[in-house]
Amino acid sequence: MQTEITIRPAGTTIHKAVVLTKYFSNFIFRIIFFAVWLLGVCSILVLGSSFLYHFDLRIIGLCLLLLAVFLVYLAFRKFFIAKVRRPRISLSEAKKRIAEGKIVNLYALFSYDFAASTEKMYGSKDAVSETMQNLALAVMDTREINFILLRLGLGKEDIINIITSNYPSSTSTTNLIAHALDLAIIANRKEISAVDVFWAFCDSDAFFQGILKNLRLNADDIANIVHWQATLDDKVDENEGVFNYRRFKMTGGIGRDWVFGYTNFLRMYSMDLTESIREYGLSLEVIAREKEIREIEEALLSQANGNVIMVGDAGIGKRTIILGFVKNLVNGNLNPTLNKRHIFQLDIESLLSGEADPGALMEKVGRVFSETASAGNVILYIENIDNLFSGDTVGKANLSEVILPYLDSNEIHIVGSCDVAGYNNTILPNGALAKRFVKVTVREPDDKAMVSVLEDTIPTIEYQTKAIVSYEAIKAAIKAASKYILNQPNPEKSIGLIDGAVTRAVAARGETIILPADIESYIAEKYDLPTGDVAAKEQEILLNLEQKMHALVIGQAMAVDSIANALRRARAKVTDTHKPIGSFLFLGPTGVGKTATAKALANVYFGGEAKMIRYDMSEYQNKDDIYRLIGSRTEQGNLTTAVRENPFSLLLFDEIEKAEPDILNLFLQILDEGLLTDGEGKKVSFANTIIIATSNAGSELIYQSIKEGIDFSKVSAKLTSYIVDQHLFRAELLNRFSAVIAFAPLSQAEIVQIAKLMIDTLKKTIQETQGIEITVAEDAIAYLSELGFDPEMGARPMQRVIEEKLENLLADKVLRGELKEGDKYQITLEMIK
Amino acid sequence: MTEGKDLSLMFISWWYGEMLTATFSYFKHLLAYLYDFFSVKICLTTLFSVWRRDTVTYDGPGFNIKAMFESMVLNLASVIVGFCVKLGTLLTYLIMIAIFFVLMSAYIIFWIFFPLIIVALIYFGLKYSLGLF
Repeated sequence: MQTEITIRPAGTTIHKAVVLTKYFSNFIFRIIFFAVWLLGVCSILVLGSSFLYHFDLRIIGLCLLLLAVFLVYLAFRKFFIAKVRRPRISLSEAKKRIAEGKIVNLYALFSYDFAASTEKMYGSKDAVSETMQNLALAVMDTREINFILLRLGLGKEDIINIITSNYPSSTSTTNLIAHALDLAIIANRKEISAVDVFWAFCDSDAFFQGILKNLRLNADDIANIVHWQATLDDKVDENEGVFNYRRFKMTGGIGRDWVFGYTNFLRMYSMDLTESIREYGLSLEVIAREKEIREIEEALLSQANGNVIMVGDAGIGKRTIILGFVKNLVNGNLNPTLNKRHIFQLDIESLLSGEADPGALMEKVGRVFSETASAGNVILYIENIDNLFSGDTVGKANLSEVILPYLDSNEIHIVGSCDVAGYNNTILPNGALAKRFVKVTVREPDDKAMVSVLEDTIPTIEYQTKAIVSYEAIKAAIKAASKYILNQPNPEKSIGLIDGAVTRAVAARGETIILPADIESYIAEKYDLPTGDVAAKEQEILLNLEQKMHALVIGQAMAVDSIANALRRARAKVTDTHKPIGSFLFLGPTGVGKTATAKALANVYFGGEAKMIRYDMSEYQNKDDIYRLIGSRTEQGNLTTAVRENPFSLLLFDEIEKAEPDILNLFLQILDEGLLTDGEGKKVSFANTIIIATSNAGSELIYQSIKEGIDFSKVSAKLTSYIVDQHLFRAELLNRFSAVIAFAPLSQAEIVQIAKLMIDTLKKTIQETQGIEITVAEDAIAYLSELGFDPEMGARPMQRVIEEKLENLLADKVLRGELKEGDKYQITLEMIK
Repeated sequence: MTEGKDLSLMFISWWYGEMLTATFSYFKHLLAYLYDFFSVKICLTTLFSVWRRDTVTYDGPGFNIKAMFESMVLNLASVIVGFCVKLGTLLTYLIMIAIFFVLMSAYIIFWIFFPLIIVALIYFGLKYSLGLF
């Protein structure tokens, strides 16, 4: 290929453009061109007013000369910009000639900016030698590359320094430029720009790939940014020029409604979305919904059944799609047949209210549809259209009978929307209804499409905030939105996240570049999450988690170790899944510290017990109780709502063995996928929760084994199979927990430690509230330990004993005035015996 | 690959080729836009139709001449209203088209004879200002 390609400025038109620009760019020519403009405009004004005023003939003559110069200047300027600075042949034609073995000078295909920056290198070898390093520096010397560097968050000076000091020596640039030609063809470009050469560097040069790797990016990301820049350039080009026919919108004109009927009755129960968008909504941005909008358009044009039903989860953006459709209609971007239509959103509730008699209701609905049909230019949009046919909300009236005949009419078109359940339960079983609607499935855009969506949206945010959003921040926002925000659909949640992060960063720093750290800190603040790189404080907690928990939990080293390991894995991003951070089943007798361990974790890791959400599963023993947890259409679920509001929390399910088996099935999904669908069909993420379930199941085995002197670590291993054998829990549930942990019965020494821990808490409280310093004698502690221990209840009675023996005594003394602020008081065995 | 033609030849082919074609294309689209803006097709095809499908039909019991006459008069009025509005719109469209063709012709003539116009401007400019020729 080398032999067919040259890169030489001499003789090329673009080189002439570079030379001419250089020649005419000096100060004197700039002044001359300005004078030509000014005098040219003045001459037009004078000549124009010469019909009204009498000017001297010499002045007229001078104006004619100036006008001639001005017109010639304008013509040549336009010629220079539109023609001389552009390649003479297309890039694909050049590629074809190379393939045919003809000699092609790639310099002739360079963009003006890139040709100017490489002129010295390719034109005069003495001035700058033709090396990859100099080519890279020439790329950085263009204005074209500014957009990409800005989006990468790279400073021009910094990257020039890196190239100058570290780029390995090499010579031939021809292969790289040839590769840039291929990439420019892929990008549908008309010339090889510095952007394409930079892209080629990132795609094939190890040095640039190393720079990208440091930014956690790759050549595909550069391709995305190149595409982003091209899209923005296209938008600018689309609106440029005086004679730009793309500005004409075919909307049907002033008489588009003159042949259609009035809709007075329909307007009582509906809103004209077309008028609303025309008056207020032209700034509405509907992104990444072109496919659905096109499908609706095609379905409405269909002769067979021109009705549409949009099916998708609640909140996924079905209404946004119809608004986008209306905007296209208002802008004349739809088929001319549809451009004359009005979209009315039918208010079902107001239509159905106030009519107790089914006959009257059917007559009212029939009148609305009759008027719609006679108007001839109305498309009805009906949200939750399944409600209209379900029979639940309209008494006994069978509205299908009224509406079905209209669905076959060409005079009326309906666009309905409903969720998946509504479609499956109401529309699909009714064959007559289903066949009259074209189904348009509405889904969230995937991550790749989301990049384009944000690239489209960000210029508006940047314009409003004067900030620049880096490409890395876009990727971070998409990832964070998908991980942490599950109660909103994309693209709304990602856009909202970027918008919020930009606003926050601008408020703190003024005009700035938005980096991934801004996204992470924003979401951390908004959702109270420890996202991003492990902060120093959190790192310290993670590394010393066992130690910190042992200060609050006596014994149970195995449980504490398992939890600590799981958390460290999650926070160091070793695992990056949507499963919960950790899920544990604590097994053991009552009063051995299962709940206390969970509380301690909430305290140490999440900063307080408030972050622990506790469920007593003995309250969920019936099938219907499932709806108390996940909610229904009429009520909020206490589990789903709590997790949605506190996504980073510890969920404690006490006595899980008492819950209804169907409820336990919910846990399979939560533990496996980290997701749960609530009663309204919205997904809730458990990805940032720690789930702890406790149970007394297997206590007998634990007691038995201890009695037989078996090593407790072996008991723990045996426990799972014992529980499955005894049908206490299903194996698939147990297998989904990160760990099943056995809690050993407490020893007498541990009981004493627990007593001390509780007494320390009491001492601290008395000191803080009453200012009294108390001490408890060792023999008194031993006595309390004995009283507070029950072989069956473990340390559970301890709290009651401390209340009865110590708190009662202290309360009595305080009330009698025998203890005052600043006093020191020792409690002895005799006092409490 | 050599680039062949010099800049002056390039200019001529651009001026009388690409630019003239683009100008005609713009005028074609402008004509289509005016046609759409004044709803010419709608006005022509429904010139004698009733205004906004606003009709009164007599379907009462028996043969009531008065009621039938009233509905006929009302329907006729609806047709007349529609006819007047649409005719007015069509006349406005024709006036706009006439203006458009005059301006378009002037522009095309100016474009085609641009070199001559420049020569003429220079000729008269020198003649009036310096008294040459």
